[in-house]
Amino acid sequence: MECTDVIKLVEKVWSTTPPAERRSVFSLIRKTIPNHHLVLFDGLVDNKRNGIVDNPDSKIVVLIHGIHTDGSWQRCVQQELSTINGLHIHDLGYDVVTAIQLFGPYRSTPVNRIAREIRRIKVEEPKAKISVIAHSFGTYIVSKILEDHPDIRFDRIIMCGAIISRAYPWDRNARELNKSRIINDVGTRDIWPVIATCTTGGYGSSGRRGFQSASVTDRYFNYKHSDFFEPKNNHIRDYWKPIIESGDIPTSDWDTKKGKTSFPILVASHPWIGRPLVFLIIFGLGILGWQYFSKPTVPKNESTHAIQSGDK
Amino acid sequence: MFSEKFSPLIDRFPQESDALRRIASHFEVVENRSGVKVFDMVFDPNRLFDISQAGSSARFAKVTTILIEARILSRKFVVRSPLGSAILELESWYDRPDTIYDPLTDRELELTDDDLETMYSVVPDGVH
Amino acid sequence: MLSDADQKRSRIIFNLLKEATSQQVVREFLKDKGIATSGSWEVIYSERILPALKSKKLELVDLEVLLREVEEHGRQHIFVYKCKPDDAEKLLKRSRIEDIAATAGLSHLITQPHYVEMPDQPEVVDIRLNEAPNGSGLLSLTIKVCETRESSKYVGDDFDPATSRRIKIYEIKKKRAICIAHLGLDGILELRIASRDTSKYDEQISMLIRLVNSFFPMDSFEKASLSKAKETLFNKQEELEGQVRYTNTTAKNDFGVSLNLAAFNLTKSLMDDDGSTSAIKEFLAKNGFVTGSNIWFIIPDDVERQIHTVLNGEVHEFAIPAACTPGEYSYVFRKILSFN
Repeated sequence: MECTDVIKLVEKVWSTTPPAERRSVFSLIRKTIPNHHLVLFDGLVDNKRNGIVDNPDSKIVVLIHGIHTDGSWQRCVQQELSTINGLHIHDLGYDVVTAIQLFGPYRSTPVNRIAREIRRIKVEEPKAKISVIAHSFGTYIVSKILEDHPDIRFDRIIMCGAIISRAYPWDRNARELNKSRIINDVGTRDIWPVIATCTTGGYGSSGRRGFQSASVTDRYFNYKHSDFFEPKNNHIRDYWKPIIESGDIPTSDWDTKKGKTSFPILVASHPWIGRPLVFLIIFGLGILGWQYFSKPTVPKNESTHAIQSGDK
Repeated sequence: MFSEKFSPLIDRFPQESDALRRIASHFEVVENRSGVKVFDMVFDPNRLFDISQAGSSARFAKVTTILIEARILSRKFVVRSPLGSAILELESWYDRPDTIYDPLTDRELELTDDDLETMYSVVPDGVH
Repeated sequence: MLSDADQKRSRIIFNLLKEATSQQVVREFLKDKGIATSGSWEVIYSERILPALKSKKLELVDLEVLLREVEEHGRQHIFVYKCKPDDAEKLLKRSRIEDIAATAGLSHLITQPHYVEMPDQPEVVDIRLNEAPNGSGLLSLTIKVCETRESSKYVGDDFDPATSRRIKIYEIKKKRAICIAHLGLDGILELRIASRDTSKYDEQISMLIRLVNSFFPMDSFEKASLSKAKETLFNKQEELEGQVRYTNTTAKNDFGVSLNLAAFNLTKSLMDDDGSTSAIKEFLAKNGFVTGSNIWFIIPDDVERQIHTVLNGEVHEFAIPAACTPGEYSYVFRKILSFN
């Protein structure tokens, strides 16, 4: 029996048992609860007795990390946001995803795991508004959840180092959210979204170039892929905390200073140009390499004799 | 410092760490102001819920479970005299008697479930 | 050897002890007399007390004194009256008391108390004259009245679906209750009424006065207000730390506002909380007055022993809800009077 099962059981039995019978009914049910959940069971029942109800203003922020990391930045976010009243942070993890897995076709395991965790949160805290802050592969997970798990909705979405396609249909997959609720923080020196776009399918360069969509607010920063978590930038405090706390979206000075995106980046980040180009280059290099390494090699003595024979 | 007992729990239970941190901070304030009187603190569930800003019944139950299992708080059920002081302490809701003698008014009182109040109190550390 | 009459009386006294006190108290009494203490109530009587009475290791008067101690002190509401000491001296003349007792057909009670378990009507069962050791006269007179009371105890409830009524079920029990009227040479008259499940004792006081009025004519007495004691006990809390512990205080003012302070439970002290003591001081400073307190007198030389006292109800009333010894009762009463 999991915690969630105990929570659901108490909720269900309390609401279906007449008040006069509750003491005797719960006394009987208590005997079926595993020992290690008894304190939790007693606490849940006691909350009911005392009229403790879920706060409709309760807020949860789930943090979803990227690859090659277990999300140590999540502790920084937790620390910065902990002063917000009524807010709780859940850092949701998954087994480390390597670059090979990133580029491979099998990516659903972490998506399903995160979806399951979010569903568990929703069962335990049905009234809480759930927002998400996602980085890198975490943004891909968010996009897949919105696509494949329509029962999971978010109150706000904050992305950084996003590797979602720039053509992602936010208006279809998150139609209940307007522009002020989907924030994409772009690092104009972030190379990884470009690499992800042009080396494999299913990703995009939104973390480098923005979505430039009516559904999403793009903010630009002079950052590399993980500079959002650098303490010296104070990004969490200055740019995310106001959103979570009051819905205010501070603008970035870099929006007006960033300059044009270079042509090679534009080309590389285009899924129909960059990806074929890269594959072509890789293919070409492959052919050259194959030709070079498959040329028959003649031993030195034989080649000297051949020359001498040719000379005669 | 009593409030330091919360640190390992905050590390071990990240999903409940926000609520635990808020409770720890509350204890710290009292401890700084009143010293060992922190061991006399008692909370009813609604008060502790507000302090922790747990936000939901499920999370609050998890937080109190963590604190009880760590022997920082204990949960008791008390019956109060009409004059206000607790005259009976029980470990469990299910043990409620039908009547109780109130020494403060020198009278027998009939009890219902509504007369049972939950109290979270600080577990003494053997010295206090 | 023990006569049949004495054996019968010992049985009655023992049955009354069983009703009035706990096995623990009886065991401690027997232990003090060097008598074995183990066993059930029946074993304690038949195999411990009876043989001790027969062998003179224990006297019947010892059991009588024990019964007196356990049923005459504690678990009572005490109503205090006073008269002039000169009047008290006149009332405490042996010849006067003997004449009144003779007229009322109660002379036999001066020499021997009457042990009755559940009288049909309240009756005087003991008249005790406490002589001064130097034979100069009586120091006090104690008259003991025994009555049978009915009390109802809640045992459960029943729901009748046909009538949609929930019916509460009470068990009616009969219980023996002791009331004491005690007058001392200082003019203080105590009417000590066994606790009952109500806040009003008018009926019991009237009953007791009716039975003892010939001994203590109430025209000679007036109610001794304990209001000053209540105020003093409250105002001198800090001074009395170590002697008195406070768990509840109620105060009112002339605008009908009331203030109630209660410690978390009966082991705590209001003195430990600065906020509440400041609040009530402020309230009293602005024409508030204390109307009641629950306090605990700490017995000297035994700090673990604290006698719970309720200063509440009528102006001349206080209560000791739990059992106590005569010495403890006397200590508490003297303390209250000293603050008055």
